[in-house]
Amino acid sequence: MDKQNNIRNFSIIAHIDHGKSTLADRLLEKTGAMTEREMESQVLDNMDLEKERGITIKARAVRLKYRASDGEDYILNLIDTPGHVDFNYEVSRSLAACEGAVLVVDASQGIEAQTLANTYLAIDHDLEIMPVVNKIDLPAAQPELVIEEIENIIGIPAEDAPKISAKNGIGIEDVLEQIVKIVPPPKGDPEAPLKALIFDSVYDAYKGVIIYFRVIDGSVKTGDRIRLMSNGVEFDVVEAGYLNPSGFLNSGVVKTGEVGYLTASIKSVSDTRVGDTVTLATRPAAEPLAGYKQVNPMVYCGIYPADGAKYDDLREALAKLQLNDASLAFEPETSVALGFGFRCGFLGLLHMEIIQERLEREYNLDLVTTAPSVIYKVKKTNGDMLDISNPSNLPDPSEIDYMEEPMVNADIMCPTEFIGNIMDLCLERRGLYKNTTYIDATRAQLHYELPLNEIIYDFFDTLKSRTKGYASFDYELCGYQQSDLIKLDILLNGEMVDALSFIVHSTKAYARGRRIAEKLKENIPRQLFEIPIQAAVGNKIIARETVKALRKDVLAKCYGGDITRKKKLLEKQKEGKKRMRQVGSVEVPQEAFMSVLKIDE
Amino acid sequence: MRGLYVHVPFCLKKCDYCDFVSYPDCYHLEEAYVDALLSEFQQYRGEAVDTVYLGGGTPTSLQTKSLVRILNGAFETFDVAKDAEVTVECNPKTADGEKLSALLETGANRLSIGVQSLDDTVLSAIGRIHTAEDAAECISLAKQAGFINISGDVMFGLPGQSMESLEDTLRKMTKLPLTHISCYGLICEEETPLTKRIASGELTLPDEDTEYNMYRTVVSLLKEAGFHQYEISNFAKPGMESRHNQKYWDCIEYFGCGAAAHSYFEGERYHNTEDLTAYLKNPGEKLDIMDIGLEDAVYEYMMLGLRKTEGASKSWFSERFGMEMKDCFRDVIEKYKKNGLLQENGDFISFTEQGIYVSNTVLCEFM
Repeated sequence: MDKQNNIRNFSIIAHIDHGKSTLADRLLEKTGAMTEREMESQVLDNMDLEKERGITIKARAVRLKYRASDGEDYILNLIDTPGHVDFNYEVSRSLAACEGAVLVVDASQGIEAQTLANTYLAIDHDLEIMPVVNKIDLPAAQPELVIEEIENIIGIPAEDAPKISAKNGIGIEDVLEQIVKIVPPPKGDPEAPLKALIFDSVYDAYKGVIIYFRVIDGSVKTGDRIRLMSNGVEFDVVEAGYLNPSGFLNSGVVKTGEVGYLTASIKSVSDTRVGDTVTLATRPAAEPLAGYKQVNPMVYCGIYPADGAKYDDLREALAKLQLNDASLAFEPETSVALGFGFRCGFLGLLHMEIIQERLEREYNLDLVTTAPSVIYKVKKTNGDMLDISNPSNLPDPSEIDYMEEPMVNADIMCPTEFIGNIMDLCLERRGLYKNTTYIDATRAQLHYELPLNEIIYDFFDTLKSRTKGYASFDYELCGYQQSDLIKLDILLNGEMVDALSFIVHSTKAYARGRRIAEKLKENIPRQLFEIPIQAAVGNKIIARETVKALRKDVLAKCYGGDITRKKKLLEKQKEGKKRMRQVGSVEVPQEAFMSVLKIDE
Repeated sequence: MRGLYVHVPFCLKKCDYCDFVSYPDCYHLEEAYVDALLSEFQQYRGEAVDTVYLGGGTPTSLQTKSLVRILNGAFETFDVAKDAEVTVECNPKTADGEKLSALLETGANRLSIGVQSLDDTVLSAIGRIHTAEDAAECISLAKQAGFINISGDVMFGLPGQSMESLEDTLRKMTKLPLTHISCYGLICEEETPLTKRIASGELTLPDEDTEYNMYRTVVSLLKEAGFHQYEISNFAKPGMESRHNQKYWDCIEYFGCGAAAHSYFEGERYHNTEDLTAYLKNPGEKLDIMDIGLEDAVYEYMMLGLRKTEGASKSWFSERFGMEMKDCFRDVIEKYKKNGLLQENGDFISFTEQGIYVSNTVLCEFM
């Protein structure tokens, strides 16, 4: 039997593109977990979307067997972590399931903001950090400099860091040996009542919810009645075992210090939240593990089917996605302009994009989405406090005492030459400068407090374009702040289009209103009458554009040989009309709604 | 009664805006092509027609003997009415007095001459092979040869064409011995050399507003000169409307012979191959046969009938389809009557002057 002393639980921390998944593949390969033929490249990234973007969204875990140079056999549990700021909480739970973290740094790029954020997170969890310098095969690789950087910035010894090329399979053995040496074996009391940390759960159509967990104390086996400590819900364990690279191994028991999975005919992942503690109903632990919190959506937007008849399909698709994603929230809403749809809540922008793309790709839905919004707190004159995520629900200004908006602490890392550009950008985005830390002579990290609603549009894209792609960015919610916010409405032919309303800081209203009016003008085709496009704050029009009336839309020639062709042409024109939204008397194409989402001011 | 269209896919050079099926440099196939046409006629032997239209391409770029063979072939094979309208499309520079006389003698009684513009700068910008003088010369030759019914084609919205240039062309046209004028706004069809040159920025088109004003100018200027508008792009002296073309807008059937020609016969639309060699090999082959059901027929009747200034006839609609036009299209007719794009005049529903300019937008809603 495996000894607790020979278990090593670890994660890999890396910035996007620094080679986390490639290294994971090599570890699997080296430990003989799979033959090359079996190995689909980068097994840990399961979803297509993740593969395309080269990022990992949902955590997974895999159990490897390794015979170390000391002659002993070790169980290495690699717990994969999501690589994006939107999934910070999930990252923290994955890290909490480990004793060590392999920190992968690109030998040509050095440390990035995200690497730092996750490394600090790992240090917070008392993990042993084991640095690895990757991509030493690149011509621009400067492994010694990077090692120095790790020591200076993070303050951990790195002179023994394996210098590897995951891509070319160089130095992989070193990494495995160091994991065994550096990462401590799990502590924990085999005799104590069961305490297991859920770090992921996914829904499977056949097995129900599969919980991925790390046993801290005690053990769990098939037939046990388990209890989830946050909500007291109980289930009977059907399967309990490990995750081999090739799939599930139902071994019947998972012991202290081990990482495993269980199924218990659970219908929804909303019962099995990441961070919760699993214990035994018959012999419960006195206290749950620390650190559980329910993550709440930070960014909201309206999602509507382009074809109103697809409403039910959209609801079903959202419900299916939610089975696997407890942090996705949605509820029905109605828009005058867009009809029936859903207000959806996301952890962040990437999460929102991922859900939208999955709806479109996997469920074949054509969507119209509204501008993303954050949750504003509105203090009414009657003393009520409201949470507003849909601008249309904002009370009349006369009933509002004041409004608050969510703020984030943002860390932006960049080469020093771009500091000026970043400061300009953050100033434009109403950022409050806190300080700058210099990493070395050429790189700095800027710390800002920024309103969340300033970064949910196009902050990241703009940041990248103003720093030639060099800047990296990380943020964390830090509370609410009173702010001078107003609602900006868009009127087409005198009628307000609810789906285009949004809440904006008063100093930004004019510029934003003008740009939106311009964008709409570009995207609304000429119609039989002139269409005024107006941006308004209350009763005050702050911008106006006009779509001129259609003057000429006529087929000059239509003789014997043209009839079939012209008929098709008109059919196409009609199809185009059908895809438009009727807003009062104005036909608005889907693209017009989408065009206002990408606005560079 | 049905009509007969004969396509001649030969040109000396293709004009830059043209996406019709026509082949330059294929005159070595001329005789074989006429043979193929005559054999295609055979499958319709004895069918009655009262219009014959020889279009292209450039029919008059064929040798006189070929044109005579085609016309005589049609007269011998089809049952052509005595008073039939027989039109030949003609390009300036491809027809001399002798050729035109021969056409008249063989039985042609109407010429449609491609003038396009009487401004040489504009003509060369769109790749025409003739000058303004050639066009005027051609019209007077036709007159001299004895043609009474002569139509001229004009285009507007052309690259480099100013309003003055268009007005000048139209004024000159109305002074020439013409009984009919067709006036087309340029359509930039995909893949034509003109469209490419516009896309590359080498040429620029008048903007939508100018084009619209040009169209209005065409309508009013021709009206003043005694050419009344009877279709979106067609204007005629009283009684000189093209009988053949009206069949298309009245949804009357027609035979189409020759490469790429389209037919509408016994409720089916079909066409011949565009490939010249394939056509020569098998001139009788019908492609893409489409049965025009009631729904299509009803829509086509509106789409085509509303092209005429007279409009679509309610009584003819009910006679033909066994139902009332108003029952089929009440909502859209009422909607556009209300905002002044459609009008009702006794038995007819038609576009108003304002409606014609944006007719596609309205026609979509009849689908």
